[in-house]
Amino acid sequence: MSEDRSSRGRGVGHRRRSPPRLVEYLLGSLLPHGDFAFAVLGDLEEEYHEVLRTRSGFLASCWYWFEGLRLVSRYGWRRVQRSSPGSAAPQRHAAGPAPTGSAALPPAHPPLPRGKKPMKTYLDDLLRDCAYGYRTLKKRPGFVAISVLVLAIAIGAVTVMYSTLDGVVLSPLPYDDPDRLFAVLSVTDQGRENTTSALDYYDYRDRSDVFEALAARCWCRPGRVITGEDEPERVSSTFVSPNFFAMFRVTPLMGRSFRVEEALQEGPRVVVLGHGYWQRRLGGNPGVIGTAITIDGQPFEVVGVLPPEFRDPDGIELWMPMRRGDGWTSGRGNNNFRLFGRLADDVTLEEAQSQMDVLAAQIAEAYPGSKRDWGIRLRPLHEVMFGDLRPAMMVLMGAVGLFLLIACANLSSLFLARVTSRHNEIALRLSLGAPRSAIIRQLLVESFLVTVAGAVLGLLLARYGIRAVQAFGPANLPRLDTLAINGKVLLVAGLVTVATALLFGILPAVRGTKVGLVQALKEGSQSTDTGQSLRMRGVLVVAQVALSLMLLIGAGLLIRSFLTLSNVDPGFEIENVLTFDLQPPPHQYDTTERMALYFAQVQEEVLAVPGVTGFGGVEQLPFLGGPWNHVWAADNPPADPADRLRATRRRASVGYFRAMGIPLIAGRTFEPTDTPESTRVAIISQELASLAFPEGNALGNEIVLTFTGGDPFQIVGIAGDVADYGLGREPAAIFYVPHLQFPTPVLRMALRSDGDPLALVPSVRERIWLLDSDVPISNIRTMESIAANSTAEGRFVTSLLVLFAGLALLLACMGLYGVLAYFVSQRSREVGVRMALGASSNNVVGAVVRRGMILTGIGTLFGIGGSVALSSLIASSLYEIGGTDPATYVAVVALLLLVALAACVLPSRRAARVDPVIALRSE
Amino acid sequence: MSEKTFLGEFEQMVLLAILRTGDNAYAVPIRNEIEERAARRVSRGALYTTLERLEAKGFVESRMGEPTAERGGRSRRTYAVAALGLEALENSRSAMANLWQGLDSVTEESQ
Repeated sequence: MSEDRSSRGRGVGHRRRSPPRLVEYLLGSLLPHGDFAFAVLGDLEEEYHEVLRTRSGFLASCWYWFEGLRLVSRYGWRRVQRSSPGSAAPQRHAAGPAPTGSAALPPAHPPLPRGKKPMKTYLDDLLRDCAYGYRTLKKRPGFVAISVLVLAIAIGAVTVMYSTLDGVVLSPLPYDDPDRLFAVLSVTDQGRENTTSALDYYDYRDRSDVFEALAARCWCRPGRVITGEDEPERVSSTFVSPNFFAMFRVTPLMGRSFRVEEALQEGPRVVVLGHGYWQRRLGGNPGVIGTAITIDGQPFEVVGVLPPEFRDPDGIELWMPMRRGDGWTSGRGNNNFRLFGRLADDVTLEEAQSQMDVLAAQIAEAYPGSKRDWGIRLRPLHEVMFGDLRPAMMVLMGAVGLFLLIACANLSSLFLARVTSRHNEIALRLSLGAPRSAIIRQLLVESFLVTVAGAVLGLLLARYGIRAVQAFGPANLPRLDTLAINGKVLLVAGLVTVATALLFGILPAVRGTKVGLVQALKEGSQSTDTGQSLRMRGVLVVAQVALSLMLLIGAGLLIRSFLTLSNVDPGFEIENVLTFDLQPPPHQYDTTERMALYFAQVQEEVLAVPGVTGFGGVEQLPFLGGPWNHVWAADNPPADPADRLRATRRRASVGYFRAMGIPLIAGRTFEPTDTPESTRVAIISQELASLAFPEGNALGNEIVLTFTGGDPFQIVGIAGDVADYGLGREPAAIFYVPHLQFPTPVLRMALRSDGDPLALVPSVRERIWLLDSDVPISNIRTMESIAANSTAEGRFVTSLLVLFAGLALLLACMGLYGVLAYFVSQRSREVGVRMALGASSNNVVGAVVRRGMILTGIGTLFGIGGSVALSSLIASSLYEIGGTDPATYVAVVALLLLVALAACVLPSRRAARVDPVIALRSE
Repeated sequence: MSEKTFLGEFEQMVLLAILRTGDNAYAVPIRNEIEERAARRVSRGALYTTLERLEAKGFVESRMGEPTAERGGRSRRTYAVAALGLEALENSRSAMANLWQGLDSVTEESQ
């Protein structure tokens, strides 16, 4: 058949897309059944593919929606007509433009004919209102377009924000009975939440009976080197208690979880694989259970593979049992584990908390050295994981809500203007006997039509908005990939649509039908009652200005806070520093000498690369937190263990301070002569020096660092403070010890170059691999990107708020302009008279601008009041400025007044150009 | 006079467009033909309605064609003018022609 040529031999890149299913389904159910429906849908799909071929997918979808809905309305209308017998005959149009003028009135309310059900009449009336409304709106495409656009942006924004809020914060955890899951946190003697030690865990587990299961997981994420393949891979692992997966009620996809014997000190070496790793590196091999893989040079038996739904937020791919007696689980004061519990069925939170309090007190009393005055706290797991995102999301939801209100006020004003100009039509209908409620209903239906159109477009925009959030949102926002427009989101969007339509539609509908009948008819085609409507629109403009100002102030405060934060001195030089992790496999580098030699060689090689101006390594980079220990001055031990200082520990290699650009205040940095045989030395941060040695005699003195027992270290240098816990936090007390004396299996190297450090990656990598190709280099990133990540969330919220505030300002100005333009057009005669009597154009301009600025001024006052009232809500997100920072308020108000002035000037210029003769003549 | 059948204006256009399109006259080319030749916007809904009506009156006949992948596996409904339709067309045309006779100059002058 000749018609087949179009379906074969199409261009290579042509995807078989299908038209939007929803419209297709609607049409399918409304069209008369059988071949006819088939043919119509087929024709439509054919033309869809034509648009798809010549334009784009997006346009094709829009086209299909548009044409589909047109057909839907036609056939839907027919369906309704056929199903209600005796309803008044609808207007029959030939295929052509609707009749204009007063003949476009809907038929007057028909006399109730033989035995009709009132419900059917109401439905009929509504549908008639829809048809009439559609025809009326069609005559003002510009007005409709603007309204639909404004609504689309507002409803789309609400949809995207709610979807984000729901997906990221509100959604329950993907486990069975998630509200029975709790995080069990230790509370230090200073009231801060902390991790717990394994020994504490064993005690809690053995002595409590309020949990169905109490599990533990190491906070550590040691990278393991898996050899036996071409490139050594470093994979994150962690230790968990044998009941960890069972507690979450996660059954492995294959194999099993850990057995109790595997958690003993000399137990067999076993591992459970994450699903991603199994797929990626082992090709989803179904026979993997029982086989061995080589981790850090040792064979481990694979006993289980996790299901794909279990996704770990930290990216752990290897799970090992925590074993009694090894480094991580020994020591009452080594708080390396996080505890999680599932409450037993008949236990309440209060009961569990009180029992755990008792047990914690027992431990505190038995081990005053490390746990004196420590407590325990149960918090819902959901809150611990997602709780601190709440404030930011609430700010965004609030902003979006404000924006929606502004849009409503704007549309109310627009519709009010429109309704005012239809006074005569309405007056005529009222005089013909139409009840006021019927006209109000019809006007409301028009608002609904526009709002629904806006909502549909808004949902389409929301799809792209969600993708934008996923692409540009901060990476640490959990569950970002699960965002979607699901049933809940649609429901919320629907409710918002209905509420919006009512909110902005009720005012024009009610006001529009308050016409003085006789008045209107007398004055013929001139509009009446403009004074009241003008006042009403003025009120709406004031509302828009006030709300916009609140958004602008919020945005301004966030911007200022963010800029301040960005300018905080982190204590070292962030630019031009590259970092990567180096992890010599422990089975090949099993002695300190070997490790020391290796790193020394690496240092030499890398420093020889042209462009490298500094190179060194450290146990953990700034901004990423890290392990802490108790410290005190050797000659001044604290009498009370509660007075002990805490300091972050950093094992650093030679050259680290130079590479990071951390200034040396006094003394020296580490040298190759600081070996395991020489004196134990340490470098402390200025903050720690002032805390431990308030008399300023830190240098040369001795300090006790508890991570090696109680031996004193000699302080050989004092370094500048570094923002170790992120910009904007207090400077941390830090102590550094030489890596040579206390080696760690993985060192994070910092490389400083004189140019772009990324350009040096290939040559540095090559040199390091020449030394030993079995050593993996991972996590290559610049220090700048790490710093940027730590402020990513703030940046995200700020950018969105700025966007909304900008749009809101635009809307408010449009509203202002509209009111003033209307004012000018209504008073053109008066202006003409004034000018004829000698007023200069400046006077006229002045009068209009004055009116506009008065409106703006009132709105500003309300806006400031509102901002101050809500300032506490945003204060928690701000850094170093209060919610009522005067400088920001002044700047924002000035901006608003300036922009508003511009919006006032335009219509006033038009007023000034009125020719008095023409104005007077129009009488 | 016998009962002659006449056509509405749009119905005439549709029939003529079917004749012009020839083989394979389904909704899409019919519509294109009218829009191009008569320079008139045609809504799909109106076209389908008219085609249905014409078929109900016996002026056109339709048949279903082969399904194609481009149409999502659906077949085309092609139309052809029936004898009755040709007759109605001729009636309308001659009626108009007779009424127009002698009035060609009217439209010229009013330019």
